[in-house]
Amino acid sequence: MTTRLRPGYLRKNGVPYGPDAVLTEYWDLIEEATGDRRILLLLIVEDRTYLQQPWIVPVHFKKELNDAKWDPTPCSTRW
Amino acid sequence: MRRSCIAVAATLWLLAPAVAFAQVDLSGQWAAINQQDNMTRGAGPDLADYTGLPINDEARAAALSYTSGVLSMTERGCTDYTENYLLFAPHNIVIERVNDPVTGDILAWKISAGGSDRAPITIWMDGRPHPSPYEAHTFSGFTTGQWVGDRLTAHMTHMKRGILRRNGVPLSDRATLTLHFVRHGDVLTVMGVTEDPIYLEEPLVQTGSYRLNPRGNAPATNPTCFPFTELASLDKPGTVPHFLPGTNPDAETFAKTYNLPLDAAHGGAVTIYPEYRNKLRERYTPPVACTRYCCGWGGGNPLASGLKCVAGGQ
Repeated sequence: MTTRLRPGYLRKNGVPYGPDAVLTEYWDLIEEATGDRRILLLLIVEDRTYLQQPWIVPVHFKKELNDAKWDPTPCSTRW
Repeated sequence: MRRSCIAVAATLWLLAPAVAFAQVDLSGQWAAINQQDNMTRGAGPDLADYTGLPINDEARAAALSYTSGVLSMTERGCTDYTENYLLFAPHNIVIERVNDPVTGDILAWKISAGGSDRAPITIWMDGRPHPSPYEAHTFSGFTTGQWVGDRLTAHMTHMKRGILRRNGVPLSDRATLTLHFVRHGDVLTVMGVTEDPIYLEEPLVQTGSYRLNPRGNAPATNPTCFPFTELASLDKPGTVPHFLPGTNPDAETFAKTYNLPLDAAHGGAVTIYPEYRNKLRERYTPPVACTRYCCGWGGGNPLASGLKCVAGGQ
């Protein structure tokens, strides 16, 4: 569970969440019979400022064979 | 000897609750949340929008030949309701625990359609084997399950030919489906992994969540889809509504609406991963103005918000 978030966006088209939003995450690791490994992440956002009820979204990630695609860059702002 | 028997019995007694606690009660009425893939589950996808699908060339060709007129044919009217419809339908579900009448053990979990025309899914938990590959394929498929910790994992075979998306992307009768049921509190998440050697380049993974409905007032389960004649003219032998290759008038409509390169709109395994954005970077410019679904596919709710939705970037 995460609190004390800075206000931000639930969706890239501007739908907001406020400073009192509470984020709850459930992480499940799933290994398929094929050997594929996935993370099933359930996100629940509760926000008394902007939401009438919790926003609940499951997303999933597939484990890569190596870190060849891992190229993170820090967030930056441009004028 | 007697002492060792007692020790074994005690060990089994200690282990039994541990096995039971590794399971989770899935029974109840579960309300679809639909805060994800809302348009795909609700109004339906755009024609020729195959984004996010790892389909191959054969699937793309079959999808572009599709017209919804085929659903008016008696023998094809139920093809949208194969069991994988669970993964992109907007409906609630009802999950029942089926007990063995003699032992009381869990014989199966039954997942009803909750308002859609999909046949109930029965997940057999008693260790029975899957039938021969030559057994008949049905709209129910054949599914067995087992607990992996607190997660129920089920594997389905013997599905009928159906669809992967409601705009005609096909699913073959060689497809199999693995379903994972994960419950956290009153939220149940279903993750489905569809494998299809005919139409998919790699497994298609879809997820959806449901919230427990303690009032139990979800709509009753529909009867399974029943085919009947909607248009008598389609009963004429040899009549199958379709587009010949290269003649689908909406093949590029979705791509043009959003300024997408056609290969991005028409799917494929390479298009579903984040690194594909690097390939698009030089070929994509966002539309100048919103011209469609500017306030959501339902037009938003201007009466509730007091706002007026204006399309066209005005």
